[in-house]
Order: sequence, then structure tokens, then C-alpha cells
Amino acid sequence: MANSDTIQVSSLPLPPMQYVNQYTDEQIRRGRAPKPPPPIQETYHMFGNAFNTEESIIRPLESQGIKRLYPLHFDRRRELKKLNQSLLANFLDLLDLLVNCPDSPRRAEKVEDLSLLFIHIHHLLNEFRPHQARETLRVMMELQKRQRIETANRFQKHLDKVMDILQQAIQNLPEPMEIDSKLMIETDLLMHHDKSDNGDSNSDPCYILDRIMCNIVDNMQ
Amino acid sequence: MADRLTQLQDCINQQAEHFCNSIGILQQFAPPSKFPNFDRSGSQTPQQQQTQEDYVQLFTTLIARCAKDIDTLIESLPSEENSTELQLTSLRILEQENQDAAERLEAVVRNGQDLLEKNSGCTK
Repeated sequence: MANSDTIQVSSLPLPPMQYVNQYTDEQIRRGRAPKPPPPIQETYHMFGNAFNTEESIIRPLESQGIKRLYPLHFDRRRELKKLNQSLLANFLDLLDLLVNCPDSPRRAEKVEDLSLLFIHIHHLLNEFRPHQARETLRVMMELQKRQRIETANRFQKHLDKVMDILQQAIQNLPEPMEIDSKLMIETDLLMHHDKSDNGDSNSDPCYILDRIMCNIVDNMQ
Repeated sequence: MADRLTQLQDCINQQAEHFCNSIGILQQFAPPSKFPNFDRSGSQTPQQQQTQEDYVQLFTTLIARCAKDIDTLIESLPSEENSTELQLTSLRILEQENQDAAERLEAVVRNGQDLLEKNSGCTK
């Protein structure tokens, strides 16, 4: 912000304080802060130019401003190649003109022809862009699908391992009369430790091993 | 390395630059041409002539190579005619499969969480 002592010129516009000041905590709590602006329908102006959301702005028709050099049903690649060769031919014509009669009006015509050709080529290339966007989307979705399936499979494998461990632990439980209380605590805690390795994390305030150690020491007394 | 479309656009722009530069340079460094019946000895040194031919050679190579590159890049573009419908169809199929995979993943995660809760209940 500009200080009154030193005149600082900032290249960016100042923040809109009259807009920002309406979003105080008090206002938001009361629900009186202004809502976000709704999406714009139809025509809007940006930097002095008028835009229309209804039109397919991504690919405006060539027939809007410029002469069209290719037929209505065309194969993109063939037309592009023909345009490329026309570029070279026209350039050679231009060179001939410059060599032989540099002051003729045909020279300007040739330059116009060249620029028309370039405009056509760029227009055809731009028509490829939506195709490319859809292709990118398709590849992203395939990648996502593969990731989801892989994650589900790996998680399922871990779950199966955990079930196996549990089954084994249950089978290995000795008869209640024979056990020493210290052993019982260790297996339970180890089972819990395996589970929290594989599945979601269960927050334990102290380390498992410390807990086992404390229990052993307690039981020794 | 940029994607093919951007490469193509850059190549086309480069070709335009080559056109401009070649005409400009050759015209700028052109030695004066001789009059037909004027028998004054040529002021053109062999060095200058060599430089001229170098420029000509350089520009012809550049322009021809650029045109060839453009051809190759055009060749590499996809050429399906009604590709829009194909793409939309495959997008719809992929959306469905993605949803199925998401449901399956959710089910597996839910199983895991249930198991975890049961276990932590046991050990308490």
C-alpha cells in the first residue's frame, strides 16, 4: 500500500477494500456476507472484448472472416500436407517475383497468399486441440482406474494375511490353565501390532515394545 | 519435449521465420550485379562470392529440412475420421469402470476398518 511519505508506484492494482471489508467474521457468522457471484450466462466483456459463452469459442468457424481453402469434408492430415507444399510453392513464386519484377503489385498478393496459408495451417492445428484434451482425459481416467484396482488388490492381500495371522494366533493359543500371564499379554499386543502395521493406523501413546516391557516388569513383582 | 501439436506449431512458425530471414539476408548481402555491356572488371572478390553461396546453401538446407520435419510431424498426428464419437464412447465406458473400481476399493477399505475395530475390541 502506498505510504503518504514515500510515493510508491505499484504495477498491480490495489486490493478492493470496499469488497474485502464486507467479509468480517461478524458478518460471516450472521450470514450477511455477500455470496459468490453466479456463473455468467451468455455475453460478457473481458479487457474490452466481448465474449459469448454460448458459442463454441474453442473452434470458431473459418468462414467467419477468412476465405476457406479446403472442401467441407476433408482429411486433416492430407490437407495439412497439401498446405505445407503450397507454402513452399508460394515461397518460390515470391522469390521469382522478387528476382524478376520486384515492384509489381503481385508481390503484395503473394505475401497475402502466404499469410492465408499460414492462418489455415494454424487453424487446422487448433482444431486438433479439443481432441488432444479428450485424449488426455481418457489417459488420466485409465491411470486412475488402474491405481484404484491395484490399491484394492494390495489392501485385500494385506487383509488376507492379517486374517491368517489371527487364525494362527487363535490356534496357537495354549490351554488357559498352562499359560503364564506374561506370554498372553505379549501375543495380544503383537497381534495388535501386526494389525496396525497393515491396516489403518491406530494411535497408541507409547511404543508397543515399551508396553510389553512394562507389563513384564509389573508381573515380575 | 513439448507435445506434437506444440512442436508442429513451433515448426510452422520457424518456417515462416526462415522465409523472412532468407529473403532479408540475401537481399542485404547481395553483391551489385553487373551491367551487360559495361566491361568493368568485377569487384566481387571470390571470398564474397563464397559467403554468398554459403548463405544460399544454409537457407536452402534450413527451409527444406523444416518442410520435411513438418511433413513428418503431420504424419504422426492421429487420423481417425469420427474420432469424437469414439472418444466420447470410451470416456463413458471408463467413467463407469472407474466408479466400479471406486466402489470395490471402498468395500475393501470398509472391511479392513471393521476388522481393525473388532481386533482392537478384542485386545482391550
